[in-house]
Amino acid sequence: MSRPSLSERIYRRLLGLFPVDFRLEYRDEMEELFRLQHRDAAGSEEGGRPAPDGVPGRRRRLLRLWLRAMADLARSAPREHWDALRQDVRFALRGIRRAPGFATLVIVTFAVAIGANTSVFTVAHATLLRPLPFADGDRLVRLVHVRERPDGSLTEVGFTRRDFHAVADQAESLSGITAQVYQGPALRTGEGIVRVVSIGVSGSWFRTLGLRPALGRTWDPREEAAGGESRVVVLSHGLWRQHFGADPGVVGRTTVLDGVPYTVIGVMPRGFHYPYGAELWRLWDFDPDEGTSHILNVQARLAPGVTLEEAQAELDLISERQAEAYPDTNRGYGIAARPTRENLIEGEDRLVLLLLAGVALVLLIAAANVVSLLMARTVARSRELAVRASLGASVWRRARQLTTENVVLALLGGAGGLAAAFWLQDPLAALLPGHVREIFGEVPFDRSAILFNIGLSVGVGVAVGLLAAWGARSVDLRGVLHGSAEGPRGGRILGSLVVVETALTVALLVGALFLSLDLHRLASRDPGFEMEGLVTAALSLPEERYESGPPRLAFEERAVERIRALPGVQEAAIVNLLPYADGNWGLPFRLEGEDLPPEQAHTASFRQATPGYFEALGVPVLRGRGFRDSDRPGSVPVAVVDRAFAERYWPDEDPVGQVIHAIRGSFDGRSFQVVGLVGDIEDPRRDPAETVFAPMAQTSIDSTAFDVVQPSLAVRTAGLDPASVVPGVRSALEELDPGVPLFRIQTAAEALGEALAQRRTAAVLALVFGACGLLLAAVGTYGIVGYTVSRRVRDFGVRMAMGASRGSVLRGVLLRGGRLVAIGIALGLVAAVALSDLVAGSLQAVDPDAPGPYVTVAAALLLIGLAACLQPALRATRTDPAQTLREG
Amino acid sequence: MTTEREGIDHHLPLTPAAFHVLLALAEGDRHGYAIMQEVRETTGGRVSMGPGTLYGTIKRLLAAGLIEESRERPDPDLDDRRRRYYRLTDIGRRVAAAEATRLEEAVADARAKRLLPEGQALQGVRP
Repeated sequence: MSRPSLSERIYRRLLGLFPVDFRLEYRDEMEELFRLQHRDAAGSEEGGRPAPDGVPGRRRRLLRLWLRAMADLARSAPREHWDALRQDVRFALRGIRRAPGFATLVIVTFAVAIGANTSVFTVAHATLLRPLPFADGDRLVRLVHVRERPDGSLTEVGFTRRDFHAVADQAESLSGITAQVYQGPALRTGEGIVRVVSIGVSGSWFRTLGLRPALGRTWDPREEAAGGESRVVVLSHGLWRQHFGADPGVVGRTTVLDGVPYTVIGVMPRGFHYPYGAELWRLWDFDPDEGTSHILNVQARLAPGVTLEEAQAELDLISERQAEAYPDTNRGYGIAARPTRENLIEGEDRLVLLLLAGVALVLLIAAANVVSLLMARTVARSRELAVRASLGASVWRRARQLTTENVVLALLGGAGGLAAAFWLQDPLAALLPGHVREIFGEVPFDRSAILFNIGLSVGVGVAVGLLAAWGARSVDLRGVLHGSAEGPRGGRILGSLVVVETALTVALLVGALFLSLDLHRLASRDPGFEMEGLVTAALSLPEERYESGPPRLAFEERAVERIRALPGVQEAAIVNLLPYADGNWGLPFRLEGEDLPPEQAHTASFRQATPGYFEALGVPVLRGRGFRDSDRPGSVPVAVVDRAFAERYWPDEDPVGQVIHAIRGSFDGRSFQVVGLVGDIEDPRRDPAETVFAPMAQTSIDSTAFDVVQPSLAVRTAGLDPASVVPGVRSALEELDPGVPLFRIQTAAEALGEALAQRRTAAVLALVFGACGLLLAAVGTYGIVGYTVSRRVRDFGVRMAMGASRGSVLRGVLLRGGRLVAIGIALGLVAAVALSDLVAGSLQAVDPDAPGPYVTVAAALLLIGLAACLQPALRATRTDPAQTLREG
Repeated sequence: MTTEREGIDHHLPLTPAAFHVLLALAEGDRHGYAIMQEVRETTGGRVSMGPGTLYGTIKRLLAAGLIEESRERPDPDLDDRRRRYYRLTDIGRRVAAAEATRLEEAVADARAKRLLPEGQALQGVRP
């Protein structure tokens, strides 16, 4: 036989394109066929036909041969691969039907793990990965005022109107500076008055942020120049659908806000609610002379080619100039530019990261479990595999079949998990930090989630399958065929799987336990006021009529009077911010006898309330008195402080009679005389704030800050159903002013629940993950120990035949299993300690170094681990020594 | 329980490649190269199978039970290498016949609808 020609050698290489089995079967024949075809085309002497047309004809024929051969390969190689895959899948499905219990176990394991991962992925995707809805969002920055506190830390507050105009006029490094402010006007609809979330924005807002409407337009230069006078609004998609009937002709229609007619000029795209869940945007004036309160949210776009550092340098100059020009209000305030993206991803994403970590752990545990189950089953099927191996199926083929089986199982599990993730979408959306949810409209359960799910399923399936195949590769096939009990040497791998599973579960459960404990403590902590029988609500006072103090105060006092007179109402009061409210109003001050420069003033939380507030809330007045009707604008300005405040500033003195001097801010120069001390009101999300309370009558200012024009109402009821007074309250308010709607009505318990909602969800999920992990680890341990026992049947038989007692066999198995579990627990505790920083950031009521959870989890897992080993151990003792010896 | 007819119909229609391979084996056992040559001659060079297509088809026909490996060596003097010979199985023969019938009926339909003039042979078929 002559040496293969170059052509033949090349062709042989190309045959590598075919699947292994096909190649093994038909390679010789295909090579020979090609050789013969080549011989014919080349027209050589060896039995072929002579070539009459000489060299050019020969070349042509050879070229045609190769072209045909290429085409043939291109057509048939993919076909063969596809055939092989189909057969593997068919085989896999058959395997599933034959062992439905096992398959179900694996599928459910995958479903739980992959589904959980998909869910968390959608949340992470929304918070961390999705692009901002603005054009070129990375060039946007948020401008804030920063102030250094006496202790050196920095605090950020909003911008003032005056500084907004200063920056807009002077900054060259920013190509668009825009302001936005949160409002809550009343919209007149067909069904009555409804409060909407409105954002007052400056003229360049849409342009600077790079936003385009879905319908209509945003304001034109003429309207922009006219400012708020032009009375134009852009609607959100949701509002347009809900209250304007999704009318395509809505552009040009008139709508009434706070009794003032506005023209609708456009509608934004679906899902856009930036900021704060906006439902409409209106062109607003920001008069620089009007007030110096820090309530504006200012955003700007970096000019082309300008870096953040360069812009910051210019802003530092501007803030210095402002401080020189207006020392009373601006000294000590710097301007900082922060990338807008950063604002969206804040502290609460720690929870998301925790979830990610937890769910990844569950996935790992599940994967380890499935690998061990598969390895055990592979050995159980070793006989069948050995037969197939002897019939020629190669190692590769077996590996591919195992992998395909697992990918099929993983895809089935993943599909189930996807469905579960879909149903869990809403509860998870509640977990998103509120402001992020508003930006993105909803948690997207879209293509990317599905792709992630499929990708993860395939990835996990392949990884698990390959691992299982590798672990089972050392099956001594000949030995199995001939009946000897020699099994795979995968015992060490299985043992380490038990350790890994246990360790992961320990880490997971410790974290979960900490979170749950924290939540429980926070929820059951004494809030400092009487929750039962308390109803709260918010009022929306239209700015046009209630911007200045006197009319607002008049309304508030009359409202309280009427509500008090209602049946079932024991007490009522109006306050700027309720317990559990978002946001805060700070009071900069100094104490009597202190000589502090304004920028080093102390700060306390500030609350203004009508008389009867403490009684309505049920906060105990510990010394002195609460507010009285006699505390009016003409009389001495009074204040009440809470215990935290008193302990901080007058630890050894009676707070009653002390004086607080307000500096800067809305009450600059006022001296408050402390007339009472009350108990602390606890917000579970924050440390106890030192609070100063002042009578509404004496502190009613001209302002459009939202907690001023949207104060809150607290009503204490006598009966058991606090909500029953609500209709009465509503009509009382309507009689006074039909344009003031009541909203966010809740009992105190509901408000607390809302405040704790995120924590609760996180704790619940963590517990669920921990439970999943525990179940999987227990099942895994049981399976692996059981499998190990079944492999060592002969050992036990021999030992017992030689006189070992059943008890010692039992102890031996338990000891072996127990040792693995113990190692796993030890490793898990180490991991938990290493991860404790991650969890500590979310804990408020529990010491992250407390040993309790660690000890509890270790003990629980030891018990469960041993219990899992018990049944296999008992089975080992039931070996009949005589029979094993006979089987040899 | 399937009838014989159903067992045959299950395989129809055959791909052109499969049909030609079965045809090539109708007159006796052949090995791969011979099948390829036979197909090429029968179709006048119109159908020319490469090794991949040919053996892929052979593999599928084997799996379907329409052909089998032959244990005999019809050309011992031509054969000095390990070649595999294939032959039709019983059912393979019947399936090929059924396919031919199906094609014939299709041609008759075409004639009836005047797509083909009467009596004209299909191109490429050896007389």
